[in-house]
Amino acid sequence: MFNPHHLPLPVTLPSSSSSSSAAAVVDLDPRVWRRLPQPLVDRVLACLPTPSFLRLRAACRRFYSLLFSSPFLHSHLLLSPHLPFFAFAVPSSGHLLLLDPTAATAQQHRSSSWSRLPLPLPLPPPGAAAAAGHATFSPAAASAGLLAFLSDASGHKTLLLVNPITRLLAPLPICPNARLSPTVGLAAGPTSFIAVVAGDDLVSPFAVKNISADTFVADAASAPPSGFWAPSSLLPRLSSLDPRAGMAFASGRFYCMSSSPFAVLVFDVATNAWTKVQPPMRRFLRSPALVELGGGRQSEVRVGMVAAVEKSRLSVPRSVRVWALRSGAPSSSGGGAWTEVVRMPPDVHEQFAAAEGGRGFECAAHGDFVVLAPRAAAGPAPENVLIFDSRRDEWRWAPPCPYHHHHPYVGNGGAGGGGGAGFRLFAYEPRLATPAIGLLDATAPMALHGMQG
Amino acid sequence: MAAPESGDGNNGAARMVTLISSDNTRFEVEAAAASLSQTLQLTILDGGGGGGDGIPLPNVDSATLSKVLEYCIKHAPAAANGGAPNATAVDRAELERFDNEFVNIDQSVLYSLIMAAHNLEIEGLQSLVAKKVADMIKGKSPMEIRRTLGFPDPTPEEQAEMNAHMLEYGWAYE
Repeated sequence: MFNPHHLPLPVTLPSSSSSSSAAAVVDLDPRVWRRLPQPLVDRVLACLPTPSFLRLRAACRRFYSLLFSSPFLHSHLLLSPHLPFFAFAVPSSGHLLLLDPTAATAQQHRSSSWSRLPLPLPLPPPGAAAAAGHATFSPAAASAGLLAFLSDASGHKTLLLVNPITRLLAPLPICPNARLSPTVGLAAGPTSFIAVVAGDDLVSPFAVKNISADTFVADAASAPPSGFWAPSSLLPRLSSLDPRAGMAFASGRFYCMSSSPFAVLVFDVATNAWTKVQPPMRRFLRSPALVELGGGRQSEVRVGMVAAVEKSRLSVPRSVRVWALRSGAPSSSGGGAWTEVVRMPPDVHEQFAAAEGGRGFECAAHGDFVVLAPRAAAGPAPENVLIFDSRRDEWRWAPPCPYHHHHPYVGNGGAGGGGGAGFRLFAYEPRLATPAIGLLDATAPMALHGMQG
Repeated sequence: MAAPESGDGNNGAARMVTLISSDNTRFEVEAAAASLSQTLQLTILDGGGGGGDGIPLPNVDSATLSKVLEYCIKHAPAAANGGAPNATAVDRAELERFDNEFVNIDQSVLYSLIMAAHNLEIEGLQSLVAKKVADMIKGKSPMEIRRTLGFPDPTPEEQAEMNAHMLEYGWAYE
């Protein structure tokens, strides 16, 4: 039952104050709070950030069982603070490395920026395992507390939705078209979700290379609410998708990068149609990535592009820049649809370029933060992670990730190879409640462990 | 643009109601502000609290009630806008500043407030105080929470369960 990845964790009770002493030390007076009635205790617990709730949940059996109480999960979804975290998915490591970009603002407790969240990896199917090796899955997209994992084997892919906090996982029906290594987009809301699997069709060498996409929509308000795959639509001709790049989502449209030459492909879900938008400075871009800017619980998401700009003329200094797509612009082509939001200052860029060494970088945005991580030269884990804090208009380096040396599967080459070596970076909010996964109830989501009575 | 003043209009400009605290202090307040309380709203819609009557609140003392009404008066205009879709960013920032300031108070007052908000069913105030308390406990350990809430010390069995949980959710403790 127990996932072996859990075993190396410390057994000792951490002393409470070690990680929290700096945050306003207020000693709660038991003479006051012991009288608080249970509904109000629950209301307070529903206001806790997810990691704090999970920690305090150990206090008693009733708190423990709240994770399985629908009314509590509903309140937690409404009341708990939005956490603009980032998840680094390290291939075949069995866990996500979570980065809290806000912790780095407080000078104290540098290590508290990082934590390690075990993944409820699907169990290999019994029997079939021996011949083809275990079915393995790689994280491909994230939205609203859910991660989408895609099966690595080529052919008709399986997409799994996973909440790594509650360890719920549910597969979508098998993808209708065979693919090798497609690009995946996911957009989850409170009562619906949309998944897109695009590109890398397994076409015969004699076929005309039509690149297609399949869309899955599940919506509590439609029939059947458990969703279905929509027939594929064709991408613009000569599209070339990088499966490592992923998709961004805003206002009913997915956005992904096509390369050589660079173009931004826009997929409108309602019309099931693709269009193209020219990126800014497209002849001088390197390692472009599309991200979702803004989008806490209050603000609207905008599509952004982050890319290195390399133009030989001295008048345009090498840098990394962030642009935002102007709303309502998608149908118009041309780089004019973009507004530059910020560019890396020269001194920061010099250090970043040295760390990156021309290998490109992973990039994601969440709330007020953009995170950039050079693709690894040696190990699979992230190093030299750079954070842009738009609220403070500040670039800073994340504290070093303390988990580099705890990597149990380094060198386990074949296992999770689908997306190629190296980590992926996602904007990820650790949420207790991810109601969208419940739409897949028909296919019986299962909790792998953690459900003792 | 004067709205026709129909005699029975519950939203008529500045209709006042009287609330009476447990220690017999009378508070006169706009019906719109008092109606942030789901409990009072029903009474007020029925025409209660006007004139010399007053609505007795036997569970709320005058110090707490005056604090509760301070919150209601500040939030009544935004609530009247139906959750403030057309409130400006400035208005929202001002409310946020007020809220932060408002709960920056002694623990025993916080306790009285959340109890009053609970009894009077003032949703926004309950959440505001709950968030403040959550902020105060979010860095605590499970044992500290047990002590704060007056739970007895865990039995060896419960202690074993706590340890198992920490093993399982170790990442949340890192």
